[in-house]
Amino acid sequence: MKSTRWTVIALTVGVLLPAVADSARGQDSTTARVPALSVTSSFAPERWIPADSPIALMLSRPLTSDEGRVAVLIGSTDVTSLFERSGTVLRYGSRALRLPSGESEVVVYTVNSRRWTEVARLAIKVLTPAGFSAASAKPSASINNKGQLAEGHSGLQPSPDPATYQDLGFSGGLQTTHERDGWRFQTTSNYVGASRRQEALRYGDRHDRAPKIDLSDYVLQLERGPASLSLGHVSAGTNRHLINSFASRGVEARVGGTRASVTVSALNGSSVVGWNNFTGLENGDHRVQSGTLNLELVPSRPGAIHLDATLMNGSLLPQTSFTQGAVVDAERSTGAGVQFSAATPSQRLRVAGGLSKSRFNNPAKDHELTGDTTVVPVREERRGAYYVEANAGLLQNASVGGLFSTSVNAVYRREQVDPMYRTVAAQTQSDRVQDTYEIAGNVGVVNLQLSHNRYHDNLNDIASILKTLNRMSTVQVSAPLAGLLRIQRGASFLPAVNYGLNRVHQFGAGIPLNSEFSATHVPDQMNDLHNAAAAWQIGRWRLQYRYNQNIQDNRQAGRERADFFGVSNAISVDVSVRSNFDVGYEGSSEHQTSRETSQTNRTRHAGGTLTWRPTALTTITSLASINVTRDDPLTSDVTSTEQRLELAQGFNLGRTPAGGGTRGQFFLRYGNTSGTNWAFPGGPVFSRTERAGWTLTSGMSLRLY
Amino acid sequence: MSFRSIILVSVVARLVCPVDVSAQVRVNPTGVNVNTQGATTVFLTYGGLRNQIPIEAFWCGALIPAAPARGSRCNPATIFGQLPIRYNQSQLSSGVLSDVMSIPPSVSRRAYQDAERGNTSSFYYVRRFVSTAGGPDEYVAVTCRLAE
Repeated sequence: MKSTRWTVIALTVGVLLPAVADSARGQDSTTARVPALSVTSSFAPERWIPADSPIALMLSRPLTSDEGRVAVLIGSTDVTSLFERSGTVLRYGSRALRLPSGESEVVVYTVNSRRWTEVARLAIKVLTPAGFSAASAKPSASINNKGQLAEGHSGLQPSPDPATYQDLGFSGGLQTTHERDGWRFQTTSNYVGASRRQEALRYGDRHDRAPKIDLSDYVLQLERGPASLSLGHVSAGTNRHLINSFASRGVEARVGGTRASVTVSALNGSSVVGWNNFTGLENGDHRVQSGTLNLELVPSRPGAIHLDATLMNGSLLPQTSFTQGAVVDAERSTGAGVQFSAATPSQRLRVAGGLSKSRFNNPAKDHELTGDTTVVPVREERRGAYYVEANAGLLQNASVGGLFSTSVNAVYRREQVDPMYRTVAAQTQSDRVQDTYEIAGNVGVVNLQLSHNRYHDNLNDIASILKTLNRMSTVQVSAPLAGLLRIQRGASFLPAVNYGLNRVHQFGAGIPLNSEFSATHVPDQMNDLHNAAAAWQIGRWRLQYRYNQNIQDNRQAGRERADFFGVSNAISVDVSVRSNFDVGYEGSSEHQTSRETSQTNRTRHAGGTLTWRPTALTTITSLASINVTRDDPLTSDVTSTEQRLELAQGFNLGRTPAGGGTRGQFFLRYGNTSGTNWAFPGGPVFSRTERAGWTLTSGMSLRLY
Repeated sequence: MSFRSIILVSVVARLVCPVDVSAQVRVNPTGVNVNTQGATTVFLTYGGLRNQIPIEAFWCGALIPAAPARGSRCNPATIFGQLPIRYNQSQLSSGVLSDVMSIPPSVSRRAYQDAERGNTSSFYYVRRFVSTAGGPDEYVAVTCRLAE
């Protein structure tokens, strides 16, 4: 029986095994016969298509039953249901739902009951409904309020006008970008507004005619490849002596890349805001034009050898910028200049230089200056200017006796600007030659800076004009004492110290001939300024001590006693009592003595602050200080005090962790000031005056978006 | 000289030079160092004004007697310019005139070029005062020395 059972098993295995093997072979052969599924599209990945254009996806073969169905995602949106399937072709009409604008991906999956299998990932570029490949607009707006809710005053404290007020300010802007067919158009505009006309942007220029909401600045920029054209507020020029970062409203065109570029510009002669003179090019007599050629001779290493050449032509009327108070003329200048710079790959050695020539004149276009009289004409001048600079890293992390790491850097600069050299688009100190020597470095933890600057004017040695010479030397040393003494235990009790000396000697070369100078008109003065400080950081405590001494030694004939000597000492202590509570104190004492009048003015100051942040958005600050000033002959004694208490509360309006929403801040501030002034307090006839006042002010700032 | 002669000389002098020295307008400072290559601003104070108001102010390279007016006025052949109204910030109060002399760079430029030609480097800021009481005009000069 046993042998019969084993025979049946053997026969069964012998029959079934080949069948199972055949079945397995049959399945493999079926899979091999079905080629891999692939997808092609009706759109090219590099071409932009309209948002409403139909697209089609072509499958390489019908899906097998195991593969299930097809799913299509554009970006992160499942749009399968919007496709119409016809055989192996999927069509998207996009009439019902436009294709998403911008660059995204079409991803095709096969989906069965078990999983999604990615079959193809196709790039797609879709234009905006307006036909741009990219379009964005980013507005910004914020409002702020400041006001005085109440006030009180007594004594000689002047009455504020008005006693209470609420002012509202506004600032807004809009940035847009549009791209199409390789063109990019960008705009930026900013606006400011004020409820009170005296706060208006152009009040200083137009007074009661100043608009309360005004255009602050704008730029319209059109780019294509390496070329760009800008209109609005632009900045022109990099030549130190011809036109250097001249910012105004106008137009600028640029073409070129890393190796070479050309920039040309035409700008209004002074800064303008508002809607008037929108292009900045309305007045040809008040305009600056320039052109610059930039060359990088080693494009693979920008800055290795750089050359630039600049041409500039400009004309100015005696007009200042809208907020500028300056003494200006009618001017015209034409000039040219070249500059170069070079650096080693490690930047250890750098040199730079430039040479400029300018032709300058004052045209007779300032009727206020010339009036109806005959004025001596200004002769046109053609003058030059140059500069050279060298910067060398003499030592870089060099070891000194195996003890210290040392770095030393040396700089030399020379600049000469001829007498009468002037351009309309760069501020220069004419009729001056100056040399500057600097050495900066460290020996271990000790940092050291030395510099010496010397210049003189009257380069043409005109006998009737005073020649002035100037010598300025500075020394600055700083070091952490713990590091210097190599102390680690209790190192925080040793301060970081620094000391500086600044010495300036300015003097005339002599008494000019054929002039109305006398010896008493020729300056000769030496100023010394010493400053030293020590700072500690001990746990939550920060302490600082500062010492300052100044000596003004007047050596001018007849003014030998017009000297001053002053000393000040100051300490400050800050401690973070808790993570949300800070306390600070500062005190100082200084005196200034006039040798000529034998008078010494003394000032003492003490003050403290408390800062408490009970919540992340709430800050309460209080401040109190007292100032006492008196002079040694005791002709006056002035005491003034100040107390302030402020609550600042931030708030969020719909703000999300991702940065959306609105953030604002509100504050309420109480301030109290008082003062007592004694005149001749030590004499039999004295007087005392007092003043006191308090205010309750509020404010709010809110960034809308 | 007899007493009669003294009286006669005094009367003649009074008629020829009708200047009341004690009534002259004074200015402080009387001279300043100015920038040769740029603008200069100086605060000036005029005192001793008696029924007089300031009119215009000129810069010039040389002075000539202002007779029959008082003081010295600008030589018309050496005018460097007049104070532009945009820079006129003078304020008259209680017989004292506070004036801000803002010298445009072009005026200093004219003075420098004048000095280059060998003339004196100094030039003058001359203010004219007119009497509201019928008195003569008075010119007051401040010396500007090219210094830096």
